[in-house]
Amino acid sequence: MKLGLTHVAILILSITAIKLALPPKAPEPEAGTALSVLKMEQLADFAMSVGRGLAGVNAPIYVSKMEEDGTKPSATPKLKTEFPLEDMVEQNLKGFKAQAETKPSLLATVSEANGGFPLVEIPSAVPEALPPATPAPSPETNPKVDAFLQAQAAFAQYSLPEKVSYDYPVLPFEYGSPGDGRASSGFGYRMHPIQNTVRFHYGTDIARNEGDDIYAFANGTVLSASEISGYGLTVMLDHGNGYTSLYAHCSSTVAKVGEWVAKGQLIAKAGQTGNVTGPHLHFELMCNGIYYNPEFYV
Amino acid sequence: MKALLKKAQPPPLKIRVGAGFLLMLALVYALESSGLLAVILPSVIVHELGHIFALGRFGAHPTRLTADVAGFSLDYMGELNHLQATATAAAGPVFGLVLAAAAARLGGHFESEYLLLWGGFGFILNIFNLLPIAPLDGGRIVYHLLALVMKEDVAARISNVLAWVFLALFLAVGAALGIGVAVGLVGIWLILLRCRTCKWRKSMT
Repeated sequence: MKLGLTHVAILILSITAIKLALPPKAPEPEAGTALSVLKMEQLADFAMSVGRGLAGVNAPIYVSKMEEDGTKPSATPKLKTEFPLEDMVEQNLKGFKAQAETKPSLLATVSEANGGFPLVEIPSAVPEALPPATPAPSPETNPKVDAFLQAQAAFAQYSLPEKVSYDYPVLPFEYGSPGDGRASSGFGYRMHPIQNTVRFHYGTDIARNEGDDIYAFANGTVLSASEISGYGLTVMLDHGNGYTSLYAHCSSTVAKVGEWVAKGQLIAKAGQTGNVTGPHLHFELMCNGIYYNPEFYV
Repeated sequence: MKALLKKAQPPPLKIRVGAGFLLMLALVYALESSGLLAVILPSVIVHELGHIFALGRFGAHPTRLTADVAGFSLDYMGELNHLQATATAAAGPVFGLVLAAAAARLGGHFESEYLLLWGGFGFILNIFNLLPIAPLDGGRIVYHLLALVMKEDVAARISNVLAWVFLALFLAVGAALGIGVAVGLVGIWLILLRCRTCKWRKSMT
């Protein structure tokens, strides 16, 4: 076969035309799994991670903040707009632990007065006089938000932890449920099922059986898929614009670090790794390190 | 006298680009959008420069650089002993790896994604080339090293068996890591290459 310059030019031009005509990124969740391996993006992402490894040895993954339009964490930190993922996880976990030690002091004393009986009726233990700390629901809130704020009013004597917001921001992307199932334990203050004390819950627990599928909340890049103390096997996704989501207690992960996943794509299997009483999915939604209530969106 | 001198002067390096190579580039262009195309050629050229440099050092002369469906290959004039041939085969990956590391370092320093991608891709490409599967450089290195200590036909047979074993291993590891389709395609490409170039002699990938 003799391939002339004109043939090549025609080929390149037609490919360019096809690429311009097609939307830049919209792989089908189902067809994507088998065919996405052919996608050169994966090779490019892999090459990029190798390059990063060569450049700075174990350069941390950076979570993009706000105005970043792309979904990919970029190669190197850009001051103020990005921060290392490791720091974030570290800080959040420290916050989580500190909460357990400091906050339930009031309840602990009440519990002792009760003869060490586990305290179940929290609202009755709270003095009526305390002003509700939760802000009045804004006009644009939905019934879910109202119900949540009402439920949390019972814990009004506890101030809202740092890095937590009860706001209901409009997400700048499409999203869907990470898995069907009853919400077994919600976001916000609650009685901790294991320690039997009031603790702040940074995510929502969705009842799932061992091995059930867990799906990506929205399009994004896999930031990490690894064991985190307490969280067990955990997948984190970066959805761009500073938004990240976290899926904890998995039995196994399907998505690989750096991989681009579509909304609804299988990323992990549910399980009971980490500090749990049974298999479930612990799901968190964050934006720039601030926790939001994922129940508003699933 | 003048004519004799002219005859002694080796011909200039010819570069041939085959249709298969252009089609492969077109395929990459069609499938990718991360700038991979822009780093493939620099990585490959640096790799080939390593071979060309080594050939020059050993007094041989590269005559033709072919880019086709089998990737790049280099023909040369002159005789090399097995040690020199080993060094020549290794020079490409070594050059490539050194420059890939340098590109990645510079990329990290100047925050250039292009250089990081170049470094990463160059690294993968050159490590892949060191697999002992002829006609990859690793296969040549194995053959020439074996030929240093045994008869050439025995060395050829052993390196041939080794190549198939490593090819099977490569496919198995790829399947185990869940990158089956990509590795499978590369595997098929390697099998076709091996069948096509069983009688390779003086060409260098």
